[in-house]
Amino acid sequence: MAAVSAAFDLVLAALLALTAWLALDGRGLIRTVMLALAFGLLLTLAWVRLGAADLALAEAVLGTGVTVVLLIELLARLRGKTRG
Amino acid sequence: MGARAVLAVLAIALTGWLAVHLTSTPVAGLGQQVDAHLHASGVASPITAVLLNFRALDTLYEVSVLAVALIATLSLEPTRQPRVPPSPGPLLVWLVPRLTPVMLLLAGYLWWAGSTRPGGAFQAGATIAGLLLLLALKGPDPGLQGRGGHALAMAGPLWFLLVGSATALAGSAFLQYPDAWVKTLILTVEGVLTAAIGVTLALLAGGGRRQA
Repeated sequence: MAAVSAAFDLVLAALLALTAWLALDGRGLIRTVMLALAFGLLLTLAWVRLGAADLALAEAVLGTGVTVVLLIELLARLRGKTRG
Repeated sequence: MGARAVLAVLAIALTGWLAVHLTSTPVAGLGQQVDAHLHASGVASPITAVLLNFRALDTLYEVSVLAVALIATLSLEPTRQPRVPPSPGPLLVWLVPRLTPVMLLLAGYLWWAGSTRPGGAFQAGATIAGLLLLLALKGPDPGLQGRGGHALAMAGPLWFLLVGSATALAGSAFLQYPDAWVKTLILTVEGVLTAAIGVTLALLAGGGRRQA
């Protein structure tokens, strides 16, 4: 059982690093925002694994809801401006 | 590619050093002192005790920062194009009426459970914000973009400030709760903060003012 949780933690850490690496790619704004969303969700899992439930709840809200929603809204307004 | 690689190497090196350093040398944090004084805090959860009692002033600052951010957002010019929300799809139409009571119940539970286990004002407020955003997407409009919503958003830090001022005027220090009222005061502060944080987050994400 300990081996399974250790393997889970390793995979989670690797996914965090991979998502961060891909998100900093700079190839497209939508792609970056979506990867930031994925990173926020993975970080929520990381907080749960570290035993900080309050932090996990806060991260689920802030890392996904607030920052990503604001970024998506910004993108939508930028697109509207360039089109219309 | 180059900048990313440099950042990645630096981040991994720093993380590795921290992991090795923090696990090898025992770090005596403040956890023991918090546990020692937990009985005097009025709540059973050490996190809530720190946030709402021992370091209540910091929490007051944080909610004030949220309020300032909201004021700054509200001060920005509304966009010229009126936002026309797309008509909600069948999933939202089916889901939102059923999710609303569940989310209200969850927010109430998180607010109440914050005194004994993970939960508290921010988590409950975040659930309310999510509910308000879902309602904004599906309709009917909860109608919180006018003065009522703004007043509700400001009520959180104002009530907190009021409680602190009352304790200061009563002879204790600012935000030093009297023993008989500790739990009640903490719960009321958290309750008002829940509503205020919910409305603030929803307004920040969904647009602060009604479009002209």
